[in-house]
Amino acid sequence: MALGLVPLVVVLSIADGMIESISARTIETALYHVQAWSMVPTGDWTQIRGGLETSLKAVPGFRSLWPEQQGFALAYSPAGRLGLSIRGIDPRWPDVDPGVARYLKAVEGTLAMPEPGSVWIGREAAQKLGVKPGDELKLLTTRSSGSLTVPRVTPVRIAAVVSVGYQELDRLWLFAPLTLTAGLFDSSEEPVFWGIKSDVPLDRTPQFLEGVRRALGPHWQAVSWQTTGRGQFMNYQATRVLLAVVMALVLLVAAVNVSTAMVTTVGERRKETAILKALGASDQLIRRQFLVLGLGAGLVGTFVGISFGMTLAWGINGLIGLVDGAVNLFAGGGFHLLNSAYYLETIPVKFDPVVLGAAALGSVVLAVLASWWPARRAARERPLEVLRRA
Amino acid sequence: MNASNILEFRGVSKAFGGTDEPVVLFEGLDWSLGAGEAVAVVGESGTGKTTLLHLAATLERPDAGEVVLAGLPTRGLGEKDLSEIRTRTLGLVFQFHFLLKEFTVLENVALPSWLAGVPKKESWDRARRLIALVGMEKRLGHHPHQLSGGERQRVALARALVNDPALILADEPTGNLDVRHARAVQDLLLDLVTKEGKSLFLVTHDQEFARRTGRVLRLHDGLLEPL
Repeated sequence: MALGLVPLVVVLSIADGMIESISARTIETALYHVQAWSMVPTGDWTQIRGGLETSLKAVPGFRSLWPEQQGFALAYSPAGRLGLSIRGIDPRWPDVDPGVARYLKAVEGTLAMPEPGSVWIGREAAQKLGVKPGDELKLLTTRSSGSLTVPRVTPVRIAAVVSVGYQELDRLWLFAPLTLTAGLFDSSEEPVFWGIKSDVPLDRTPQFLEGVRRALGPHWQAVSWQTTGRGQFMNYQATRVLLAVVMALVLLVAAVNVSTAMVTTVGERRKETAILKALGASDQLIRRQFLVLGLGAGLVGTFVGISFGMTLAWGINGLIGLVDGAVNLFAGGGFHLLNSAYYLETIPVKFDPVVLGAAALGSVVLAVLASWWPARRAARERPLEVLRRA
Repeated sequence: MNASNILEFRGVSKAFGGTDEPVVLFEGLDWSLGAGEAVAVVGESGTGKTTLLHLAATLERPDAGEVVLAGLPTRGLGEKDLSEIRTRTLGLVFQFHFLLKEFTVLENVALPSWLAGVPKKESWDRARRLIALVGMEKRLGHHPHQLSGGERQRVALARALVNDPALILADEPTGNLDVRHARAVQDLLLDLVTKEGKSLFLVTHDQEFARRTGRVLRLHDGLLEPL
């Protein structure tokens, strides 16, 4: 069972760790815990912020409130062009919100927007456009004017190259001050919404959302990260379930191996079984003896498998580093086992006691079940036939 | 047949070889062994002596008729009940000792007692007493491979007695032993009858040993004839 459990523990621990890490990054830097917007015109966001904050402070778990305006722009640089998601934010956001401060880091430059045209660009996007802090970038946006669509080119200056540690996000974003995006986008088409952060555990978000809805009143619409990121999180869950199923199949194969080993053991112990039966051991006792053997094998295999799996998962980054180092020793450098275009740069690992407990329990139960048929066969052994041969 | 019989065969039939060409060993065999008696069954190889003993041991079921052990008819009993009877009523000694190689002398002898549910301390005490009876008290912690053939058979005999069975079934118990060791095992078995009041059902080719039991039956053509 150990051989089956090791990949199961490693894969699920890493999958859980990656899902949790990516989810936390996405929620803290993009989705917010709850997004809210007014169904009626509210005027300038700076005017209503204080009132909103006062209302939301009454909601248990409320952490902070951030305005944001999102739109699309085509970014031009001498090196190329790239479609970017422009995120108009309060420049103080990373300074004040610990969630953003934790995940949004300046790779180059500093997280400040000293001029109205200062922007932060994602690392991947910066690489594709060949820009660095201090460089100028042109943003092509469009606004509707009557029946016409009017293009507009706005020069901006890179203040920082940023990263959230997840390349999927780093190649999409350009952060700009809200004062800039207000000029780039039509607020009727790309309105400012409010990102609300919370300290409640993620699984209690629905209750927090209800509190926000009650606090904001009937003219406001509010949705949680579970709605705004539904597709993404469903993909994660589907992937996780798929991995669990595949790993359970591996465990099943291991159980078949246990059964085969037990059949061999029963065959090897035929004489002893026959002697015991001739001396008065009941079928039940013989069956129980082999089931206990299966249980013992299951317990030992499970302990070894879970322990080794957890150790391997815990040291996976070091192990990958060793592999990278060994390959680069011969390849002359530049080799990375983990392609940062698709993964987090370090593999996060999460040991979920429920998952590990279920895997351990399943493994032991499977080992006992796999021993059932060999044990039954041993119990039905006819002692006379064996003793005659002996 | 009476209530003091420890073993009765009532119209027992047994055949081998399937329905096409069956080899009939016994047909309607009636026979009994009284409590405290000894009997030896002799006969040529293949006449069914060992099968007779296996039927008595409930390791084999008759095709017809029934075997009654200590007044209890065994026909129709399940494997669990038969195990119980074997454990409490019978002591089995085979030509081969059938000791468990991983167990010590003491453990091998105590084993049937454990199987009968006797508390561990009492099992050890009984086993020690019987091991002393067969003269193996200095070999308690030894394993079967450390013993001679005669010593193994003496241990097997002690094991057969550990549950204080009323009937000892012995199949060529001295068949693998030299003369000196064979004599010692014979003495032990016969002492159990004369001194302990046990019943002995012996299957042997050894005419001398058979005669020492006092009652010899020859199995021939499915019939038990007194000699």
